[in-house]
Amino acid sequence: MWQLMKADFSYYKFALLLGFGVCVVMAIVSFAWNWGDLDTPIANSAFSYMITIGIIGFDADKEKRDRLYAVLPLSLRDIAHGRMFLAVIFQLSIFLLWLVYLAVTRENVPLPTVCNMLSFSALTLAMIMFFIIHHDIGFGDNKKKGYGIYYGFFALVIAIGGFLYYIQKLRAVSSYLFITLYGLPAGAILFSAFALGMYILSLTVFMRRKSYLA
Amino acid sequence: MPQAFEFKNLIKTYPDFKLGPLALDLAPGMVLGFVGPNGSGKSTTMHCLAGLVRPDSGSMEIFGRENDLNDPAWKFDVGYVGDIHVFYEGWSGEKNLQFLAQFYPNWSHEFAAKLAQRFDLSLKKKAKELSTGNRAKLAIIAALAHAPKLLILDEPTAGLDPVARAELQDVLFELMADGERAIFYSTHILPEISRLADELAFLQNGRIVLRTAKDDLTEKWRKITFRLSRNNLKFESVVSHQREGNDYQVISSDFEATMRQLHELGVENVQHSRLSVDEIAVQILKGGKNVATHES
Repeated sequence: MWQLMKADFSYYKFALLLGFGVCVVMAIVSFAWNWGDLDTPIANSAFSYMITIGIIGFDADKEKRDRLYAVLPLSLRDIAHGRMFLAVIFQLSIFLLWLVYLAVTRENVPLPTVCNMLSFSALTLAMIMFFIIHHDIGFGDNKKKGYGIYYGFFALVIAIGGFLYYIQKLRAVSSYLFITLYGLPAGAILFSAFALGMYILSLTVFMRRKSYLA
Repeated sequence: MPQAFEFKNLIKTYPDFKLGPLALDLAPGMVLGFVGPNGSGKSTTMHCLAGLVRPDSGSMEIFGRENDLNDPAWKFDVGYVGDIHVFYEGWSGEKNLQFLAQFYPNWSHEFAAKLAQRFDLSLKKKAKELSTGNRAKLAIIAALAHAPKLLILDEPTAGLDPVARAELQDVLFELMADGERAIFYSTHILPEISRLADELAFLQNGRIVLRTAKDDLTEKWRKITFRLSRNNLKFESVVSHQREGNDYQVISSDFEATMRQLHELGVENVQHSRLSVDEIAVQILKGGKNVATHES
């Protein structure tokens, strides 16, 4: 597993450095222009992260990396962990960058800000997992059924949310979820748990694939 | 001693194709040529064996170990050259080999370098800059450098020039010298495998139609010409025949049995000649009606 992580990191180091470099530049610009807020560097680094990881994922898919890994003497679990490494480590690096930014720009680091950062990182990771799971379902036992369950679940959540919003009940809930809870330790834990759940689901879907030809 | 590989009741179904049920095994020290037309299921069989595709059902063992994708110890014994060759495209051949070497304790950099020299392959070039043939050479080196006990070769010479093909044959011969390795070699080009193979398995429409020792095949299959004035005869073990007046030309899958019958019938001007493995394969895969079938 470590060999895969090392190889991927080495292979994509320029893309990662470039992506991370954009985040650093944005943080410096934000600091130098006295914007002071954290939202700008966070938003910019989220864009940079998504673009970088998207390009890397597209490239790995084009080069049929899963097929290369599948014949190696590694368990599917190790391969599944290995292929997630860059997405996780890059997000972690960005999180550390934000912490440094906070330490430089603030005398005291407020807890809600850290919770916000954690929640945002967790949701960003969950979104990457969402695409990875979508990709792997395509190689599953029953593609139609897999997509049906996967998107059916999210569609159900959205439908219930929409209904509750329509009947005025969810407005308070959504405001709590995305404004209040987002900046609370409980929210950071909740969103992290969601990201972890998506991570575990992505491992499971990968390990249940019927084919590793692509 | 366990078989190099053994699978039973292997089934893999796609919307437009069904492989199996197949049963096949291979003893160490043997080379099995896996022959079939395009789309017959050769690559699918090999994908299943190499762990790239999960079959719908059936059991597979490699040197006595189940090819469990979550317990990959069996993969140390396997070298696989697939129908397409995958690498880190932006890395040189050398760096790709270094990457692979980390996973195999038996990896020999010296042997890999020697093979590259024999194949006249520059390991300095990036994988994406290599021609189809050179990609195949790199894949072959990658599959051989950890001294696997079972080689799964899926049309490995596709794209190779004649010199590299001959070199590959020589390398495989040398590898087989210790009598412990086994090679499962798929192709639809018979002359390529006829020198190397001990046995041949013929696959058609996802089923094995015949498995036989190569020498038996060339010994038993003959083209026989003779003269006979009688009509409406059914010949023993004849897979195809042509008639012009009283002159017959038949292809027999059991030369001795056919000849016995012909002698009893009192035929004249009997002449016979051996067939090449290629000619025999064509007859088998055309579905000669008297081919002894090996139902798996």
